[in-house]
Amino acid sequence: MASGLGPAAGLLGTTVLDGWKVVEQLPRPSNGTGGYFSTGYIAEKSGSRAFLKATDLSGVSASRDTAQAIKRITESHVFERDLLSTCKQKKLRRVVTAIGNGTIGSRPDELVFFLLFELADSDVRRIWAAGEQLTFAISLRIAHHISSALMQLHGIAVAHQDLKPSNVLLFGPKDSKLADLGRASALGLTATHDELLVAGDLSYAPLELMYGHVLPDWKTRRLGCDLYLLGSFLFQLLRGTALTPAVLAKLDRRFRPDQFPGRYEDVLPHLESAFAEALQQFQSDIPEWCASKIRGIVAQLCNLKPEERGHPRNLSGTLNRFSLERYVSELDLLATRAELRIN
Amino acid sequence: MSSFKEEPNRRIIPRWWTSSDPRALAPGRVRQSPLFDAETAEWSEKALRFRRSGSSSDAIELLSAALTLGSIPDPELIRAAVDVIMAASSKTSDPALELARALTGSGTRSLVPLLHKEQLIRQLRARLNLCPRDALGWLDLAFLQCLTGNREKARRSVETALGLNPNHRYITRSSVRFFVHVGDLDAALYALLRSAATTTDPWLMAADIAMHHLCEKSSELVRPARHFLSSQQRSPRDISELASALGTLEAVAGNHRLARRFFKAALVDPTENSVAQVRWGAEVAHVIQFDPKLLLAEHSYEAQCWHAFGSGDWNAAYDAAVAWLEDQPFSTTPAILASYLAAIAREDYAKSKEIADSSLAANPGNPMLTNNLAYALIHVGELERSRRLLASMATNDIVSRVSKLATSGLLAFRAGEYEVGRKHYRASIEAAHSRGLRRLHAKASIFYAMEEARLDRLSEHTVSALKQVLAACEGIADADVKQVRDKLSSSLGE
Repeated sequence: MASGLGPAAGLLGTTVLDGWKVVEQLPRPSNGTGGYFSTGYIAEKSGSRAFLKATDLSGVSASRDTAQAIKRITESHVFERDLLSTCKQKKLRRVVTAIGNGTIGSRPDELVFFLLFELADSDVRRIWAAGEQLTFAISLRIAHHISSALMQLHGIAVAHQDLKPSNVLLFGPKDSKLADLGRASALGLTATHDELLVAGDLSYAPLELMYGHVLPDWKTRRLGCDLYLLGSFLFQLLRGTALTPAVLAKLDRRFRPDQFPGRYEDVLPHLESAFAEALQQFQSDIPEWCASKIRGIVAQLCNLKPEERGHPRNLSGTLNRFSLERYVSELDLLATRAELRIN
Repeated sequence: MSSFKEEPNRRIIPRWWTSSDPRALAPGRVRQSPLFDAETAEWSEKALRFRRSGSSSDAIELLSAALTLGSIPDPELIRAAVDVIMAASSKTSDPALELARALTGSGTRSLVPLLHKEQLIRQLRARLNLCPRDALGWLDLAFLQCLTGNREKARRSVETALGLNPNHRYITRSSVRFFVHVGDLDAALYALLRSAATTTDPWLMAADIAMHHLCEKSSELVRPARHFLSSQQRSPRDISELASALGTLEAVAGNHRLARRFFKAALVDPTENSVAQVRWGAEVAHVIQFDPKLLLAEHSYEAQCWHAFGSGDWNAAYDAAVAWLEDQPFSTTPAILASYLAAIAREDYAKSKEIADSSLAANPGNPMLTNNLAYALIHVGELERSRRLLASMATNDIVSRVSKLATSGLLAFRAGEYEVGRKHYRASIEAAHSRGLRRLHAKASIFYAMEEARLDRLSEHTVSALKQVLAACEGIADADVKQVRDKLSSSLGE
């Protein structure tokens, strides 16, 4: 079995692109996502610092079909690279884009593909892991920024699919951006992870996908997924856990996805009931002046029927059903009011 | 007099539990293969992070992954994460504690405790105001409203639930049970008719056939149901109640061989409702032998109760009746039986009073519950309240009339109005005798004799009453009649 100690693990001290020098290796997880190994580094150039993500083909040796494995790794890298390039061209301000990318080596056993990103101060997961709390106002501002990021992506027919605290990067006290397009879905393009039932992290996945309920329409499935992830992220910012496990925790074991053998519509009333209970508890945790509004936003974004997700006014207006425009405005207003209450 | 007799025309009407009860969906099976593996939840990464940091937030991440996966790749690590959450419980938000409890099995969404019904109703209403599309919430509200006797409100709640989701098995079946409870059989039939799933879901087909049978009508689904059973498309559990419904139809029609075949199919993996129905098929309809081992099936309180009652095992019958009542707290049958047994078999009149009182809240005006409560009240010395109850007690059938007269007789005796008491008891005995109700006739005679003996064991009235008992009890082998006869013998010191 491959240990992941391929050439991507040996870049320390190397100058990779336009004078960017790799100066620090970051602790790696024991396994990359999907079996592909990547290593993180800090690179420096003229006093600026960046994050470098390096991938090699060492994971291929663990596969039975080497050619297929090579294809998957390279396609995955190319997909993310090209998507980042598009985001940069379109000036998606709230999405972490790549400063550059490249390849090192010529022989297959030497090849390293890398992406260079703007370096954040931290991410939401790391803040919490360090025992720090985000204030209510900051949480709402982050939610506003991320809703804006998703709106920008949706505007170029891209769904992120993997919104979670570790992918929300913080740049200073007031700026946040959405990172990691490695699991994104682009309308009209095929990615290797498109065939997965859940493209992102299972712990955050929309409940309908947990039960294998997949709607064929790209917008309903992919954009609807992003809406759910946004609502769940807002829930988690204010309550501490993501929505999906919070709802599952309220269900009897036999109704949970790993046990329940029936259709989604059969378990849906039970999920609705648990969801209602979770929302009721959620509302009681939020300051009264905005509790109903925020609860309403989560309820709409996380509607357990994906075809009904989104703002009710989108159904009658000219905006597409999954448009985030109203939520961006509402979260901006809420965040501003929360900031004013502090100052 | 406190009395009870088993329903001769039992039909396999669906049960009704709160939505938090695992039987509410009755899947009967589990998924054979998981949809996801550990890496979909990025388990390794999260495990490594938690091992390194030991922080609450990384513990929450790990528990979330375990919960969504269903399986636990590393139970020891999960235990450590749970300990971190529990240790930080004064600082950790409630959802984190819920995650921890859900994984340790120490409390998922707990069964709705029914002790503080009004409070629960308020909480549910608040939740439904926020999320009015929660169909199960409406049904749970109806359940509680039933228990507090608010039948009209319960009806509106049930209709709201049905309006939100008329095709869902649990919602339709529970609604059927509610409508049967309030005596609106047409509404029960309509709930099944409007569900698009009734013609294909064996659980709903069973309810449809049973309801039509109860209404003395023919269900159009009988033939499709037979075909469904013979095609073996579904698990034995899924078709258990359907087979019971068909077995009942055949039993009543006198087709015993066919009835036995269907009942046997129902028993391969039976629900407790099927066990109760087959027991009826054996001990009331006499079409099949009943294997007492079936009583070991989980939650088989009704079957256990009747079986014990029929064999004269009063303590077991009482315990099972109480369990049955806890399982179906709005139901009158277990309440009447439990209050009867508490009084007659255990002489625990306080308990009998408590049970009857509580159940009357859910079933206002029920004659037998009213009678049993009046009976218990007499024995705990609350004569005036008993008197008022008996005055208000409706007597729409001969059984309640006979019972009321006898209990009135008892009341008069205990109030020192002996001639009035004798008059009531004699009227009760005569009413039962003239209608050929031998068990009731015997019991009324016995209870009367007990009161006379209590007054004066050697009086002419007593001797006459005892002779009447002998005549009334001739040829009656029922265990409950024997039981009260034994009480009479004890009271005479024999």
